[in-house]
Amino acid sequence: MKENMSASGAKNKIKELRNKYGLTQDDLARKVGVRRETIVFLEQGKYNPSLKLAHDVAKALRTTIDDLFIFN
Amino acid sequence: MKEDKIRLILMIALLLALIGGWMLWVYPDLNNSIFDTKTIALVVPLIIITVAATMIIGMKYKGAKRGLPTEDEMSRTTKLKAGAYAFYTGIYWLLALAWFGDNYFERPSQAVGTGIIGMATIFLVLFFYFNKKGVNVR
Repeated sequence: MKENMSASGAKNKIKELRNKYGLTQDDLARKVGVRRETIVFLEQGKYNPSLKLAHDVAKALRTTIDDLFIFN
Repeated sequence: MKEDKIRLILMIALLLALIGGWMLWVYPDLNNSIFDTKTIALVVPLIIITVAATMIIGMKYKGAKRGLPTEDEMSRTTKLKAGAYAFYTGIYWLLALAWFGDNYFERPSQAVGTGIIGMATIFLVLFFYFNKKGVNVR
């Protein structure tokens, strides 16, 4: 599965899982309660989410934090 | 969503107050036809701040129209980081004004206004920079 790399070395599968469930960035942002720009930056690895946000995103994408974010 | 509406209204009110205060401050110089380089140096950053503030309000309004929040943890982190860096940089800006400003300003209010506008401009530049680059914490 294609992963996005962040500057801090953490990869994530947000975009892939979002596409898998047919969600737009707006849809995911609305589900999680953040701005669309936050989802964009999360996918690009330009923002490290708080534990709560990481949990909320993982829950929205029906996975776990461990499976969603992969740290080197 | 009600909070977002209130936040947007407050931001628009603040922007209008900024423009109004700016007009009152610059108007005496315009009236006396003293539209010289000093006044222009004060007016240009204010125009930049007004345009930037309008852009920020526009971005938040677009998001609010789609039912998304106007502020979240990332926007708060971006603001804090930009504010912190602007504070550090602003100290040097104010020091430079204190050292070199004696022969440049006719009135103390011009020096104070230049200091405030400079710090606000630095903050806005950094805000847009971190908005584009991200606020990844290593």
